[in-house]
Amino acid sequence: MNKKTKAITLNTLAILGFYTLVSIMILTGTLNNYLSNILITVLITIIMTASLNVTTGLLGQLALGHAGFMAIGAYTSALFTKSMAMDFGWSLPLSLVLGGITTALFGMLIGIPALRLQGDYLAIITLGFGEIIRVVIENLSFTGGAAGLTRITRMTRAFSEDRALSSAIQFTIVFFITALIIASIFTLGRSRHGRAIISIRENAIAAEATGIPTTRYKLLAFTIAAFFAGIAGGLFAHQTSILNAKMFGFNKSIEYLVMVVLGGMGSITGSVVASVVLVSLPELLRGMAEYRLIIYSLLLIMMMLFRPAGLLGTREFSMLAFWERLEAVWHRVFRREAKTQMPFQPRYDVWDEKPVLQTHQLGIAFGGLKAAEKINIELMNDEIVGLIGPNGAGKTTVFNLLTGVYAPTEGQVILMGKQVQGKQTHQITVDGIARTFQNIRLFKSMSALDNIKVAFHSRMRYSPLSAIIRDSKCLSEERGIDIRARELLRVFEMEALADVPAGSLPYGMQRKLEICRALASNPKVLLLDEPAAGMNPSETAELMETIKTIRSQFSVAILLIEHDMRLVMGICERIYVLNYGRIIAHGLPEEIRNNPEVITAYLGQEQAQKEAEHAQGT
Amino acid sequence: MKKRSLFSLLVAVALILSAVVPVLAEDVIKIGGIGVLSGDYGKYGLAVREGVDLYIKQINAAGGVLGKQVEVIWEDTQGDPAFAISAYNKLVEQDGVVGIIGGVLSGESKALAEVSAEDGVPQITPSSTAYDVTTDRPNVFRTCFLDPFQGNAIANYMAQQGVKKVAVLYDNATEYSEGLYQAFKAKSDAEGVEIVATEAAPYGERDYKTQLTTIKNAGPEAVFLPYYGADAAMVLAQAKEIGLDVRFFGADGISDIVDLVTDKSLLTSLVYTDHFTTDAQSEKAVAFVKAFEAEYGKLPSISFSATGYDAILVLLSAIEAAGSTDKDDVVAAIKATDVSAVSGNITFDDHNDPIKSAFLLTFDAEGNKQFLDQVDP
Repeated sequence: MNKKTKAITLNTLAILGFYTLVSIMILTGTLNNYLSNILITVLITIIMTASLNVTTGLLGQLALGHAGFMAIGAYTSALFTKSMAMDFGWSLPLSLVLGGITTALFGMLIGIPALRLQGDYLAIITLGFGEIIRVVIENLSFTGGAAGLTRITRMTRAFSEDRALSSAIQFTIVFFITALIIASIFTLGRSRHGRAIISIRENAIAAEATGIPTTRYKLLAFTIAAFFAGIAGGLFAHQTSILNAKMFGFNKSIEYLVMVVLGGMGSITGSVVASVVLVSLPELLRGMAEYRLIIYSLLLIMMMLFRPAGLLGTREFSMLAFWERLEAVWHRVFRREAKTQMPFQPRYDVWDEKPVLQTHQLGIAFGGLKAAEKINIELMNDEIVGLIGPNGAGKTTVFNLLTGVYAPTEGQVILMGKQVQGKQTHQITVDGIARTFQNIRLFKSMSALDNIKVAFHSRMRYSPLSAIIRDSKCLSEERGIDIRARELLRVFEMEALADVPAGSLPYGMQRKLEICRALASNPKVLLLDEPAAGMNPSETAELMETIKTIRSQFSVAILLIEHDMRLVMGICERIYVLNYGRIIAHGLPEEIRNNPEVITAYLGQEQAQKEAEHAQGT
Repeated sequence: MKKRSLFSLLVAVALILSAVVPVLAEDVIKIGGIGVLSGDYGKYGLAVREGVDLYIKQINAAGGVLGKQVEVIWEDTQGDPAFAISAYNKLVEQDGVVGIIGGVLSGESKALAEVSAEDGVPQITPSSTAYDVTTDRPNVFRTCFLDPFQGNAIANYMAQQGVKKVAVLYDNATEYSEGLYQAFKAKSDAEGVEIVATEAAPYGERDYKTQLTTIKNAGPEAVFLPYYGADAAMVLAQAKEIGLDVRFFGADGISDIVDLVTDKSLLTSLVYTDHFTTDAQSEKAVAFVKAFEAEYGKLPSISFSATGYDAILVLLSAIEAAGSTDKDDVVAAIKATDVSAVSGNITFDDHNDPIKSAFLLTFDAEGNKQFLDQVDP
């Protein structure tokens, strides 16, 4: 038995063992109603914190209205079971699903406008949303208004006349729903969708440039979090039997946020641990009456002082391993060994004759300021072309125009015969333009390998649902991508660093990894923004070789911005010179070196004035 | 390392054991007290507790109930109904209490009623005035009057005083305030008192001048203010600032206003309904005020001390009458209650509500409560 199987067996046994033990304790009455009720509260809290962790931890957006989502789920679910003349065994699961879906719809509704904003602004919008939900519920008549809803069927008594049995059934339902949700968040987090969500947290601009439709993924994360919160709300309603809008106020949202922070942003197991601790702590401290609030607060402060990143930071307990193990068994038993697919096929026609990338009178004006105008650039297949110019000439602006970060106000960008201007960055990336950034934008806390995998996103097809259940489609694509990503790293001699977090790589390696990531999206045109910035001469020399290798191995046209003239003159076949947003010269390196206009642009005003005087004089 | 993990294991086992070991039968009758004891509404719960504890002290000194001493175990809900349920479970399952005094706020009481009704455990709330707390709950009683009753009483009194035009300032997002408003509106319509302005502002708003200005412009002779003391205190001060010089009428929740107003003369314009008055002349009431003062060194200024005292009195008298702590017997005995208590004679109607009087009180310029009138059902 190897180490992995051992860990997996332990996990499985722990989960099933815990369930069996608790069930027996409830059935025999060892765990009385009081304790089992606390246990249910813990489980519901786990769903709430883990789902909030999807938005706050994984997506990295501060959301302050999570209790509002819980309220929607709770009311929907309670109103359903109250109004349906149906056996509770049927109406409960239906109501939970309905509560989840309704909440998810609201999540989407809020998300569409709100997620255009970030950070503090999103926090304030979600805060406002949570309060609106509360006030609306307080003022509607079918939600019971200020008095709230009462007499909702309670799970502890609904299933059987025998209290212990009914209690045990309640535990079974809530326990497995919680386990299922946690497992879903785990598997989703480790899939291409999870990587896309995490990459947004790490660097939204880079994520978009790597081909991730960021708005859609923000919305997905938000909706999933809302869905799970809705289910938790439904369970809560049928645990307490009484609902009141005041239960879901701002304080409740903050309570869940505190748990997420305490457990560690981004760590789902951290959320679980924090929920257990923070729910049971007040109960354990009941005996201390007046002092318990003080002790509770002091413990919180101390935990934050000594473990500022939360109990678990971003580390996880290995549930995934357990899941994979189950699958391996499944495949062995049913002999459904899925063939590894390698969805890495060049998709492009050969563009030998015509330019791969062409711009036509491209320009952009910010109000009255023309940052770039009449830019005409052509890139042939496999060509290395330089784009130079003094500081502030508009070089990065051109890159931003080409990649759709800015929408051009005039002109066209033609990629392999098709106009791409006006498209969103991630679409253009998928169409075949990839880039690196002047100041490195890696997904720092993700491993080097995962950085590459994010860029493979657009070439994978499996759905979020496949990701959650980890079906054969998902697995084979993931396996294929793993092989391809490692191959790519091998080309750049970084294979050994695959599992190192990108942020802790040496500077030169980070530059390389960024290029590597850009190539992973299978571009036809690669834009490099000052790749040699901050490199010493020997590193620059190495970089020149790398760029040449890329061109020959990946059959890609390269446009690079660079100030290091040795590099530019050394590898560029043609050069465009930009000044004040216009192309002032274009030609072979030797021609550029001797072009008087270029010299003027570079040597500055003094020289330019002299030349002007000289011209007047004659 | 090994030693340490063994130690934590032992601690964990000890914790679990201490939690699950059933309480051994002792020669004590245990009662659970549940209510908000901290936070904004904490003073209402604390007032109840003072009343209850006083009675327990007296009865234990007099030999207890059924020859046993009585102990009340208090649990704070922080005003959260979910905590109330958790507290109930703890008290009933863990501590083995035979009856519940509580909750203090209507939300708590409803949540408690939800669970206590399933077990049939006798529950008496000293302060939840919302109508449906006891509806279809044969085991749930109260020792206070109801919102519809005090809403009626106030509208009636206004009509008697010749008030023709009245304005209302209430919190439409709170059940207590909303319930009082509805009852008041129905009765004032019937009595021919015209409501010239209806303004809503949530508790804790702190600035009520906008609403008060609108009210002032409507020109009422009186304002009905179903608020708690803290907010009402601000309303009175701000009304004076903007020159709204009319009479104010409140309900039982306003009774704690005295300590919250700096300018006590403001209080002379306020009339409110209360469960109890320290001026009450009955033998029980006089004795209660005297004992309370001796015990705590102050007057029972929040009337929930009196209704709390009555609640535990009713519960323990019923246990004595039933001759056991069997819950069904005790519930039956409570239902048959006919005792003269501190806040009046208590008998229960079909809805488990006490049939008892309300007192209309006002204040003198020093902030002392003044008895105005007694309203009988």
